[in-house]
Amino acid sequence: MIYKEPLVKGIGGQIVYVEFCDEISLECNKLVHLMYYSLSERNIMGVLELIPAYSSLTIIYDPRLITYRRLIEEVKNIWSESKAIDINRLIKPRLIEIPVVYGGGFGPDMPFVVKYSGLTEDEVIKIHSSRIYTCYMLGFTPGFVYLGDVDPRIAVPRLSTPRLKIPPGSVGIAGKQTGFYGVESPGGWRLIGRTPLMVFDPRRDPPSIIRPGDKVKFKPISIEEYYEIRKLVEKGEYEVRIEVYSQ
Amino acid sequence: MSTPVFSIERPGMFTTVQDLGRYGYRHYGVPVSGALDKLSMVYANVLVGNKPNEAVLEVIGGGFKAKVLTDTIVAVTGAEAPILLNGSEVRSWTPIRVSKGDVIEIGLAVKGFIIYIGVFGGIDVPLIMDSGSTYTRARFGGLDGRTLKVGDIIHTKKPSRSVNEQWSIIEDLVVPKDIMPYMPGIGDIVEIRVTRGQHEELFTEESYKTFYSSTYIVTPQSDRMGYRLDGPAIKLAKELKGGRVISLATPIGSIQIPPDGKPIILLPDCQTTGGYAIIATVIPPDVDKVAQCKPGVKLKFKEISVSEAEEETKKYLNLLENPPLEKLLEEEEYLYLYAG
Repeated sequence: MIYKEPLVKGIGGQIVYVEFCDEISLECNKLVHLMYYSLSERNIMGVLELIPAYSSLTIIYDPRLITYRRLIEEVKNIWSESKAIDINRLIKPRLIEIPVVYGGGFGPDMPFVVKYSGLTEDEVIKIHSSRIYTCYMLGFTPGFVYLGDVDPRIAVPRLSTPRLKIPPGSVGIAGKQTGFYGVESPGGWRLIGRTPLMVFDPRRDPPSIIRPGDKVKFKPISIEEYYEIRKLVEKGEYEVRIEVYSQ
Repeated sequence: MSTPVFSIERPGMFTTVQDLGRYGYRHYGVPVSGALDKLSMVYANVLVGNKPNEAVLEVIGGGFKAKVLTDTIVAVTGAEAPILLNGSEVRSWTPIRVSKGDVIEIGLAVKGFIIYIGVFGGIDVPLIMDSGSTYTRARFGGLDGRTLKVGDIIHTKKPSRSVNEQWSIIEDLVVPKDIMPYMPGIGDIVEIRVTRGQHEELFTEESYKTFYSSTYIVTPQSDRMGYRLDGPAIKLAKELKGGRVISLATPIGSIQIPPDGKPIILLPDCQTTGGYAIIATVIPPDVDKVAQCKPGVKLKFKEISVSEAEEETKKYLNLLENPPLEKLLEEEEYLYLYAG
């Protein structure tokens, strides 16, 4: 349920928490991004960091420069104007193409997805790569991208016992979420493929290819293409395909 | 030009390079990292004449030994532990002049848990997202993104003036008594100030009563991500699906209640987002205090208002930006001054 008014509270001396709903939905997440990008654009003195999540936005501020009461007012002002905000101008969403090798050694859970869904591998690939996904948020580990929503036919449950080591670039599904791992980490998502792109690189600015609110499309590639792209990526010569996207 | 300053002979159980942390990247899932006890960390810098935010060594629990490779100035702050320079005890929280060939050794932490070693010029590591802090889980920052090991050579940046000059400026500096942080030992109960957290509505007043009236003990299942506590379990007002809330940002200091009801206090290496309900949040100056509680030390939570939390945070941020120092006065001078 999306709240009539967002729940806003000051916490701990330098945090303001804004919650818009109690569900995971693209509709509610859009409100999070609306607030996130509106606040970023306003460049309010004393706002140090904005951290969007599925249904909430967390503001970190310097109490020497602004108080939580003042920030709550700012949030409420933006909320009251939000209906008039042009989301395309504000978020400037981008559509980013992520090449992926599906199945085989790069997607060890593909047989499970095939079995669970009753579809063929080709059908699973087609369904997964034909949607334009929205980046709900990044979190959990550096550069981990949460995308949604997955076609219900391939919305498989996560592993009951997480894997200890998942290579960066691995693409997985967990319920109605899909996404990829930015760094090597443990994780319980069902892995269906891997991208040769360095989706997260701590030495790059910004470190992540994807921003919250971006649109993402997966492009199936062959293993040969994977290694060709990987070579270019390593030489810093691969250009990620990014288009302007209007919603 | 960087100068080799230490050859590590015994790194300790978890020693990393840290500064105040990596800010502005949490929306990309990048944790803040940085020193667990920031006040002690900035003093390790200013006591050798550095700016507060230079990279230092963070030694968890102590047990450190290194050979000094150049004439320089160091300062050891944080937990109370024996510090030996060529086998003779030297003082913490004050500049120490060391020479090439010296051996500096830090014993196990007696009171407190985290020790900082600041070096004149600051430790030289590449900046990753504007910070020298180590985040071992994703292997970046600090020294190759890892803890120190035997044989590592630590470098410092080239200082702005000579060691002699620097020493003459800082040799008699000490930390004002009223600012010196208290280092807790086993048997202590440390009061930690909090405000209510993001999920206040998910807890009953009864749960809050339990939370504020009980003491919680720091368990050994604690690390730079968070300290797990043991004590009376906190119940949620209603059962959550899978014991979790919708993932939200989890700032440092957040106190999460996992399904077993035992609180976890999040520290600088914590994940940027998480799905456990947050009952309360430790105010920034008291995160330092939590960090210094080694396993076995007890905590008690005290609720303050958000405005009070802001006041305390303001003072604390000023302190970190500009940690005051005073001159150590000779006893006679001291008596003269204070006898009127």
